Order: sequence, then C-alpha cells, then structure tokens
Amino acid sequence: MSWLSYNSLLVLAGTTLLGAACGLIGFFLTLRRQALLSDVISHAALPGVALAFIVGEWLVPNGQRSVLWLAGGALFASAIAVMICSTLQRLRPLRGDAAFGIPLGGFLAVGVVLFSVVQQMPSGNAAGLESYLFGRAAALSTNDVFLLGGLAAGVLVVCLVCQKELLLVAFDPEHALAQGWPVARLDALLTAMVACICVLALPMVGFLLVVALMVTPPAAARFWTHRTGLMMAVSSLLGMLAAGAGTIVSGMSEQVPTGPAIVLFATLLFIVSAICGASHGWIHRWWSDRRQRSERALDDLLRNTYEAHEAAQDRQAALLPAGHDVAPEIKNAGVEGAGIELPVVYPPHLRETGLQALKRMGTSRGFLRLDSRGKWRLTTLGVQRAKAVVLRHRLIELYLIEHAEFPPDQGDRTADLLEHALGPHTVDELKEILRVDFGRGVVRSPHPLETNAAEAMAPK
Amino acid sequence: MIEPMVSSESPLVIHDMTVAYGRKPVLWNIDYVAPARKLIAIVGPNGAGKSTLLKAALGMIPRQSGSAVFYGKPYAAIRPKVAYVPQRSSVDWDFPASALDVAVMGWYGRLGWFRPVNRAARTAALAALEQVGLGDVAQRQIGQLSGGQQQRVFLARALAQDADLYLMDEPFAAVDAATEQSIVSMLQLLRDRGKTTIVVHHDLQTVAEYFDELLLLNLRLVAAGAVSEVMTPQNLKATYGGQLSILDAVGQRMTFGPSGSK
Repeated sequence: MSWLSYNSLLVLAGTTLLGAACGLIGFFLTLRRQALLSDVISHAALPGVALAFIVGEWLVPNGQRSVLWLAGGALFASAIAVMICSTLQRLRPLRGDAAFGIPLGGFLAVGVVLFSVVQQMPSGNAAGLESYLFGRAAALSTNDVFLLGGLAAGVLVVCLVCQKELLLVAFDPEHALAQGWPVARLDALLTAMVACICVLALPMVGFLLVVALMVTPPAAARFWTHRTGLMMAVSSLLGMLAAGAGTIVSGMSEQVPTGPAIVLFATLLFIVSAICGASHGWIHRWWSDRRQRSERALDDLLRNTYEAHEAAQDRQAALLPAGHDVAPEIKNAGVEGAGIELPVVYPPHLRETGLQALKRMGTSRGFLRLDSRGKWRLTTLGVQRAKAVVLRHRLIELYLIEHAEFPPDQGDRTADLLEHALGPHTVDELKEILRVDFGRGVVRSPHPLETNAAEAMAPK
Repeated sequence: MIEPMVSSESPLVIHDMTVAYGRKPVLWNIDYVAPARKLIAIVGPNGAGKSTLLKAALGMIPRQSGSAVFYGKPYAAIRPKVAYVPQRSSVDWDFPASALDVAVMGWYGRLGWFRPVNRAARTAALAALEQVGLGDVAQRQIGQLSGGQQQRVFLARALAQDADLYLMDEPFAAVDAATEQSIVSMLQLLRDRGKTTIVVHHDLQTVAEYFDELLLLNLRLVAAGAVSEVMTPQNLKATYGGQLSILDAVGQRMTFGPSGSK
C-alpha cells in the first residue's frame, strides 16, 4: 500500500490534527505545571483498554472492537486514576509527585496483567491491541480516523474558546479564585480535555509516548517566543509537524511503529528549537552575547579616544603661560564638540583581531570614518556618542564613590563593569541624584586619567 | 436600627471569624470593622495569620466560623469592588506573558466568560500600568522585570479592576526603597480618591509614616484603630511577646494529638 493512498492521507490528516491538539492542550497543561497528569492518564488508559476488550469479548465473542468502545474504557480508567490522584494529593503525609507516582505504577501493573490475559484469549482480534502499546496509525480505519479527528477538533475548539480562563488559572490561581472564577472546575475541564486527547491519541502514539507529545512541543515552543498567543501557536504547530512527519515515516516502512516515529520527530524539533529558537535558542544567545561584547568594545574605544584628548587638552592648558588658551580645536572637542572630529586613540589592551570588526561596526553606525590620510577619526556623531559614554561612566563612578563609599580607584574599575548596563533612564536618575554641574557637557573624572594622551598630542 | 447603616458604609466587617488549616486554628475569633477611605496596615509576627486573614475574608480558604461582609454585602455579591493583590512569590514569573497581559487580567471579571480581551480592557490595563510608572515596559515579558516592577504589575492589575477596596498581601516584600516609596504614594493617591486599602505589612518602623490605621494581629486581634492609639508598648508586647505559647500549643495538640503538646 502506498502511503499516498486515500486512506493513508486521511490518517495523515487525522494524526496531524491530533498532534496539533496535543501541542495546544500540552501548552496549557505545562503552564499549569501538571505535566505528570498526562502520564498518569495515559498509563491508566492501558488497563482501561484491556478491560474494555475483555468485557467486549464477554458480551459479543469474536466481535469487532470499535475504537470508540476501547477509548471509552480508557477514559473510564483514566477518570478513576485522576480521582485517586486528587484524593492522594489531599492526604496529609503525601506530597505532589508521590500522589501521581503511586496510581501510575498501580494502573500500569494492572494493565500489563490484563494485557497478558487478553493475549491468552482465543479471540483472533487481540492483535489489534498491540497498537495501543506503541501506536500504529496505519491500522486505523477510515471511520476511526473521522471519529478520532472529529473529537480532537472538538477539544481543540473548547480549548481555544476557554483560553483566557485557562491562562488566568494557570498564571495566578489565587487571584482567579479571589475574582470568583471557578478554579477547581476550570482545572477539571483542563484535565478532562487532557484525558480526551490522551485517549484519542493512544491508537496512534501508544500509551508510553503520549506524554512526550504533550510535553515536548510546549517545551520547544519556549525557545521561540515569550508571547502567549504566539507560543500557543508554535506549540501546536510543532505538535502537528512531529505527528505529520512521524506518520509519513512510519507509513513508508511497515517496521516502524507510529508512536516512536512521531516522538522522535518531536524530540528532533525540540533540539532544533533549543539551538535555533528565535527567543532563547543557543544561536540567538550566542549572537546577542557577541553583539553585546562588540558594543562594549566600541564604547570603550570611543571613551578612550575622548579621554585621551581631554587629558591632552588639560596638559596643554597647564603648560601654557597665563592668558593664553589651548588650541581651539582641542578645546572645542572637550567643551562643545559640535562639528569637531577627533583622531582615534586606541585603548592600550585592545586586541588586534577584533579591531577590524570594531572599525566596520563603528563605520556602519556613523561613529568612525577613515580620513584622506588613512587615519581613523571619530565623526561628529562619534564624538557625541563618546561624550555620552564618558558621562555615563563618570556618573556611575561618582555614584559609587559618593553614595556607595567605594575607594576612588575601585570605583573606576567597577564602573567599567557597570556602565554598559546603564540605560538612559538610569543615567537621568544618576544626574538627578548626583546633581552635578554640566557646564562642560560631561563631568570631570574623579581621578587622574592615565590614558595614552601623548598619542592625541602627536602632530598631524 | 443604626447598625446596618454603619456596616454598609464600612468596606469590610469581620465578625467572630475563626480559621483553621486542617484542624489547627490559625485565627481565633476575629472581630474587626475597617474604616472607609483609610490606609490600613495589618502587622504581626511571622505565622500570625496576616495573609490568612485576607484570604479567609475573601473566602479563598474556608472559615470555621464567623462572617466577612464587604460594604454590607457578602463577597460574592460585590466582587468587582474588591481587588486582591497576592504575594509576588505566589506566581511563576517565567510565565509567557507581558506586563500588559497580566494587568489586563484585572479586567477579566468585567469581560466575563469566553469574551476575548478587547480594546477597552487593553486601554484600561495600559492606563493602570502608566499609573504605576510601567507604561514603557508594558510589552516586556514579566520575567524580564525587576522585583519592584513585578510588584507594580500586580498593583496595576488591581488598579485596572477599579475597585473600592484593595487587599494587598506584602506588597513591600523584597522591593527596593524607591519602589516602596512609589507604591506608598500610589496607595495614598487611592485613599485621596476615596478608596480603602488594607495591606499586610512586615515593617513596624514605617507603619506610622505610611498608614492611617493599624491592626495588630497574632492569631487573634490584639488591637485595631488609629496608628497613634494602637502603637503602644503594651500592644506591641502583646503582639510580639511570646504570650501566645499556650494558644499555639493548643493548636499543635489539635493537629497532632495530645502527645504533640509541649
């Protein structure tokens, strides 16, 4: 049978729909921190399915067991397991995970026993139950697919209609309770939807791996965004992709059960998300770290240049006899800086390797330019930016010395670390707190500058 | 009868309220009438039942006996007029929501079931965020906000609700001095607009400076009234001194049986 036949395309549509539903409901489930619940439900479904089979066999020997009948059994057993869980949770000496672990193990044990009973039964239809272990989507009939898909779509709709309420309860159940929202009933609704989706997904994914399809897509979605609606969409999309790809692969090879194939793709998507995710992915973080480092290096270059020229100006002023003034070019750079360009003075510890990239970045920002003599200069914009950077550094330094009682030499070094984290808002606040005089555009450094001022004085 | 007139004026009347966790009582026979249009502090040592008092009054934990009446009505009938601000540590701040998403939740009661967030809700929430000085970080994920900003997001959520009575659980816990000041001036502004605020507070030093009324609590109500009248050495000793060891021991025995007694 080609996997492109009508039936297998239908199966593909059904599994992708269920995958989307798993991703969506899993998103709400993990936000409510109840991921273990899906584990309990799927494990409890196993004895439910077996029991439904045995009862069916007893009622109608050798009859065809409909998927709905078996799902009903699974749902029934899951409901009992959930009730046991919530009872155990209220029991005093037990805490969280134990309350989930005990019924999970118990139901699994009963399930395995019942399954071995089923396998010894004379009925020829027992083989169909195998699909509940690891999932075999291809074994589903057209009617089954319509049924499962239709029910999944129904749950999807309920979930979307109630999303505001579900999110409210997931974020702050106390506040929701105080506002009069029926938190317990909304939790019950979520549990019921999880149980439905789990049970519907059983014949496709198998009881062991349903939980993976519920937990992995929402976890992966966290790497892509932190906006609620978008994360919800990404989570269902990833569930859909995994289910679709897994179904296709297992459809091409008779040997691979659907469940593991789907979960394999879900895991793969998780790894891809962790690496490439647009919001918290590894590449994104690496890139923004790198970007931040070069921003800092550029700021350091600008500040060094400015301070070197400032120091040169001071030295020149000290050497001049009284009544004479410093060269207007240097003076203006310190005082107004409008229309003035300054030759770049490199910080002493700058590494050669990063310098080219730094110059490129400075040029693209309009802070640096190469003059006709092949020397790098700070543009007018660059001088302005340098002033802002110097001011920022000195404000935090002054603050550390005056308000945090740092010794002056330590203040400078700590300011080196802090200055890059200061936003414009903090700078304004610092100005207000320190009440410094802005006659020169920047404040004077609280300590003598040790820059390579000689370079700035060098004749052009 | 004059009594009902008075009680319908008072934002919160607690009558003979006893609260227990399991079998252990944590609040005994509280009787309290909150004055309207005041800033009220609830102060007491750890485990005095301060947060429990708010939660039990709101019916979030069952009362063993007694009643709490808001503006002369049961809470269920007057919910929109009462805003509750839980402790900041009670939620997961990694939750995928922006400051605006959280503030908008204060408007959910008005939206009702199934109605998606609309423009009116968003406008109200944004206005509330601007009121607490967070207008420019409205779109930021709540995990990226500082502790003080997170507390103010909670405040904005309550403001968006536009209630008449605000019940706040430790809004000053782990916030910096500047945030504390801005929250206090916010509360004073609310009072000037005729609102009542009851705040669980932990710092005796600032009570006189921030609040009009004080409620001293340690398993029972020690004293309540204007700050200047209540803040007496005797009252403070009764609240913080170890005089309640008997009550505590009885509570222990009610939980674990006679063998658990001291």
